[in-house]
Amino acid sequence: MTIQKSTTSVENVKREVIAPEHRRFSRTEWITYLGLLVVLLLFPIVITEPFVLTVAILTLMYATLALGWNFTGGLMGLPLFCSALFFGLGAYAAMTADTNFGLSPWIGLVIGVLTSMAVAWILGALTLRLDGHYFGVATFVVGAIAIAIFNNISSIGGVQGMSAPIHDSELYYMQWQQPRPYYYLFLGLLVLSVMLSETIHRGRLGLYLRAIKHNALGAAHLGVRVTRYRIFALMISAGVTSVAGSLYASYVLFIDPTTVFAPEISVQIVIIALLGGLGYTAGALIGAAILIPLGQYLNAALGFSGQGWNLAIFGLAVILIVIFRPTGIVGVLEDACRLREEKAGHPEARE
Amino acid sequence: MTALVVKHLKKAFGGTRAVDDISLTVQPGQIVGLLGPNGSGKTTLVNCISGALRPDEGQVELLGRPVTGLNPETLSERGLVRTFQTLNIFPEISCLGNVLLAQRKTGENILSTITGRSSRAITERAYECLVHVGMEKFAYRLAGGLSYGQQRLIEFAATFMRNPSVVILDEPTAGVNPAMIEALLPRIKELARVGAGILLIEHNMKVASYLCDTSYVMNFGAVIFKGSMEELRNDPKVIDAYFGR
Repeated sequence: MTIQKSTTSVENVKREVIAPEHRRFSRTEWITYLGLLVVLLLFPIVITEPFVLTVAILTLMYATLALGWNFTGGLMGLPLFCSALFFGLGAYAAMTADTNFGLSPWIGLVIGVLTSMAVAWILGALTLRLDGHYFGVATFVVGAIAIAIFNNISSIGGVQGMSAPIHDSELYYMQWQQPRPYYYLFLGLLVLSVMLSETIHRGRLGLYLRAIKHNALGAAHLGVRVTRYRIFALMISAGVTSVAGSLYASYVLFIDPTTVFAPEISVQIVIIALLGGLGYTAGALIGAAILIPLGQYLNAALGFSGQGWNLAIFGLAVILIVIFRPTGIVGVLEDACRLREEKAGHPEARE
Repeated sequence: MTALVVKHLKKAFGGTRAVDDISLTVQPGQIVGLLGPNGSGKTTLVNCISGALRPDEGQVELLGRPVTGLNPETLSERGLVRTFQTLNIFPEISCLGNVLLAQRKTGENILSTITGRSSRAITERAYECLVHVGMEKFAYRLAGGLSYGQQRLIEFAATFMRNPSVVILDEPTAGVNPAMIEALLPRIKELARVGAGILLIEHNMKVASYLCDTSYVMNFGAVIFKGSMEELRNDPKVIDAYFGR
């Protein structure tokens, strides 16, 4: 079938509202991201307080985890409640490689990613035909089952967990005395995750996932392989989350099932993404930058008697977001920018 | 080669026979009407043809190849495009993005899907489809911001993008204002003119009379009439199905 060739080109059309699939990095975005990277690179050099560095490492880790979750929960719109499953698999893979086989945790990290992606593939094939809340409940249950299974495998410590042996070789065994190298490891992972997230958002996969999120059947009728891309997104989420789990295990040197497979981890990741803005790369960064330091400082300030207050605050944050701003902080900022441009008479806002 | 052949298709829900032994053919370039009162089984029939439902019995052939029970994605890749009573538009995606979504996915692999954008040639083709329906100036607007009729035109641009062999249009003029219907009808004729076989579900008799070469009328899951629109108007069974006695 042929249609008449047009005399104009798409290049000449005014870009009134730039949808993500046509967005290219603007100079402002480059400057913002590079400026943020410079600040983050200098941070552990300027701030040497161990507690602050620990909080910073956790913030970087949770930002990565929220970015990983965003591929499934934000872009594709399916509530994934088992991020801790992939986090735990990554942690156990790195720890088992070192403790049981004397291998480098880096090898464990790779095995963890492959295992997590394989589990995600099976999980996706079984659950991705479910929609919305059903998918959320199914993944939550799978996450809970993982704790029961790992509690009963004695060769990897069972309920008592496992500790990593102390080694001299720092890089090979991913063990350092100071927190700074760990900080840079997590920062490196975050940078890679941001690049992956932005590539997917602006590429064909992002376009397909947004279409599937709105109307899976409609997308299928346009030839979009719904189940394939859903599994794809879930596997990417699992891979990113698993790497963070492996780095975490090497950082804390002790893990047990109730810590690394904890449902609280999965819930916390969802809350971070919700607060920052579902589906936005910047949302995961902003959400983690607010909630993780807040939670850690509350824990430290309130001590043993105040345990759980951070979770209560997280819960309150979710209620307020859902009622007042379901688009999260980035959504609010976008609205503010659009309003400002509208006042200034910018053509992008005159819709 | 016949664009679409449906042979003895049957689909039941419990004791209700929604589609009861339906056979029909659509030739390339032909617009075939599928008419009938509400609940007569038209949508169930096209659901079975387009892969949204699996028929209990019968066969569907697309360009001479059996496609019975294939999923919508595969059917779409083989050249069958379907529109819905409700719009198949993605409001959070730009108009150009909506058309780009309809590009053929053959040859895509994991890496190219993750990292790739649509090529310039494909983007220009999507733009041409928008030009064809007169919506090119909205290329970079979010589709959700357009009127219902304009969104229908974007849907048509996406249909053109797929180069379909067979198009199933499920009430394309429902909810569209008369001025926009005027804009839509030539597009449907154009689709047929360039070679697509069209199966059109339509309640508006004026529209059906203008577009359709031949029509099937369904009632209670069965075909009660097949013939020209002229014959249809005077057929007692059709009058009975629509108005009762």
